[in-house]
Amino acid sequence: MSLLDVVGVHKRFRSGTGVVRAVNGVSFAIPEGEVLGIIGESGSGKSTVARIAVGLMPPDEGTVVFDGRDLSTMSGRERRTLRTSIGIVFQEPFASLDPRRTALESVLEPLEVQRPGRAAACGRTSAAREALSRVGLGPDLQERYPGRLSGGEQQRVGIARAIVTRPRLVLLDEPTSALDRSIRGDILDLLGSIQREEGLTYCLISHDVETINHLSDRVLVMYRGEVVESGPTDDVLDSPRHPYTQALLSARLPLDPRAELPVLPLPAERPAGGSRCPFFERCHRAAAECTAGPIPVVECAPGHRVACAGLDLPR
Amino acid sequence: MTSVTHRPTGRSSSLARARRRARIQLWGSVAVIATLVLYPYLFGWTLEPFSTDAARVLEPPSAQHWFGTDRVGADLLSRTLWAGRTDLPLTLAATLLALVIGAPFGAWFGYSARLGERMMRLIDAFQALPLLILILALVALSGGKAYMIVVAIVLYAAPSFVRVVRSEVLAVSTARYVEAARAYGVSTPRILIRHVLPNVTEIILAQAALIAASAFLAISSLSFLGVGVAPPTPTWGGMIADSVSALISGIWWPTLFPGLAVFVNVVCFNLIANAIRSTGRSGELS
Repeated sequence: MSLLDVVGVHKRFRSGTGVVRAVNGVSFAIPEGEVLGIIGESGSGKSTVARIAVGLMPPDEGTVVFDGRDLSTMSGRERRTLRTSIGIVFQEPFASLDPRRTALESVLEPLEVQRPGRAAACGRTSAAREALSRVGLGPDLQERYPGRLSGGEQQRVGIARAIVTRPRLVLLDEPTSALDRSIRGDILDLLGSIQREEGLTYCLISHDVETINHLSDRVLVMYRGEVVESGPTDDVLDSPRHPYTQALLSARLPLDPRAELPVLPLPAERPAGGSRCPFFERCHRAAAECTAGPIPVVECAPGHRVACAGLDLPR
Repeated sequence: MTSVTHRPTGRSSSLARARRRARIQLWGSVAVIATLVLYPYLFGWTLEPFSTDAARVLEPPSAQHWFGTDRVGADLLSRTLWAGRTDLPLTLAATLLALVIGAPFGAWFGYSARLGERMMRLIDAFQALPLLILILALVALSGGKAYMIVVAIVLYAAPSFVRVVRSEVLAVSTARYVEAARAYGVSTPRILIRHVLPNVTEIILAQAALIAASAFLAISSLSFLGVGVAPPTPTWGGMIADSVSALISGIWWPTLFPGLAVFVNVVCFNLIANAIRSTGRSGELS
């Protein structure tokens, strides 16, 4: 059984000019001990899906089941336990740490929710110190305020705070996008080794193909609030089938600077034309089939699903 | 990870120097204002603000009268120092009262964003009125009682506090670290006490010092215009108004010294605001 089951989730936001359908019928499951990567461009709804999945935001439709319990029917007390069984690493390490609390105090905070009371104070402190050491922050850095830590060190504090309660699931919301390239690798390696050692389950949100490739077992490609392709990371990244995934991957720069860029043309947006495919307006392969009815989800390899009506059509 | 960790001494010493400078600014300015308030109370016996001498009218500064004498022959040093016991306590009382009244409303409007948005438009409209003139009318009509000045200045300053506290609470309560605390299940009262309050107090105190400066100027303007504290009780504004016509005949001392007192106080309030702002935020002074 999966640790997390997200079934048919929808979320709409009211904006100034109308209603934005941020998430439009997304379903996925994360088995215990696996890393699921969700990739997509800004505004694709990946962060909203993640926030719904960890119960920070209720869905308009659909259900989220964590560890066999439906989030919408949880009691207040169960919710509180849920908050400490899911760790979250935020996108902006500096902004997500209170500037007036030391690294140690920030890491202690979730523990105080999990194990309240004065009697447990000693155990909490040693657990927090242990988590900070685990992410590579020694005793002298533990007493520092966030303003006196580097970006990478701040994110290590964020990671320590996420794992200190020994959560079942950790949500990584763009964990490296605010960091210098030179530190990204270190942080990703750290996240990977923690996951392997503790047998943790990750839900990783990113717009960066390399980050996803580095950590995830399976990947979900989102576009305009819908899942367009999903499957084992190697499958999806090596042989993408959906035109959007292909365009996304072709935007990567090759390692060899002399290599020719395989540019995939993204046509200028064409009128919606009544298709139910979210990518129809920008697809280079759009055809009559795309406007014919519901978009079929095709399983083209074991576990590799693509939502595209034009799959069998010649390019 | 950068040079910071390799040379901690260089950075922390410049940080310490900046902090020391801010501390000197803060406590120096507080000392000046406290001296001006307390001197007439503690050493009032050294001053003769009310004794006049018709034989020694408008004398320039001398060894006997350091600041000279005014047009009824009263010692200007005594009067300048004595004025501190009316002008400054009025300023402090009015600012404090405005803070106590304005801050809870500000916090409220900061939390309930929708209501806050509407109430702020009301306050905008109120602040668009020519307040000093309204206050002038209010104080004049009431016959110049001291408490009316406080009421008027509170009306003048409280909206500023509502605005400042609201914007700070709004900023902090939508900050990522508050969101993070909520995500980890920290209760609302605890978030307020632990994250919101400590992160807003300093800025609000700094703003309070600035508002005190403008309240002080407003009080001085009122007494310059002759509304407010009745003569012969000396006020800085009143003393300037009293001798401003003499300035034309080259008699500078009766206006210079109270003017300097006003100037020094405004500078001190501003320095306090500046120092509070720069000592705060443990991490951000870098």
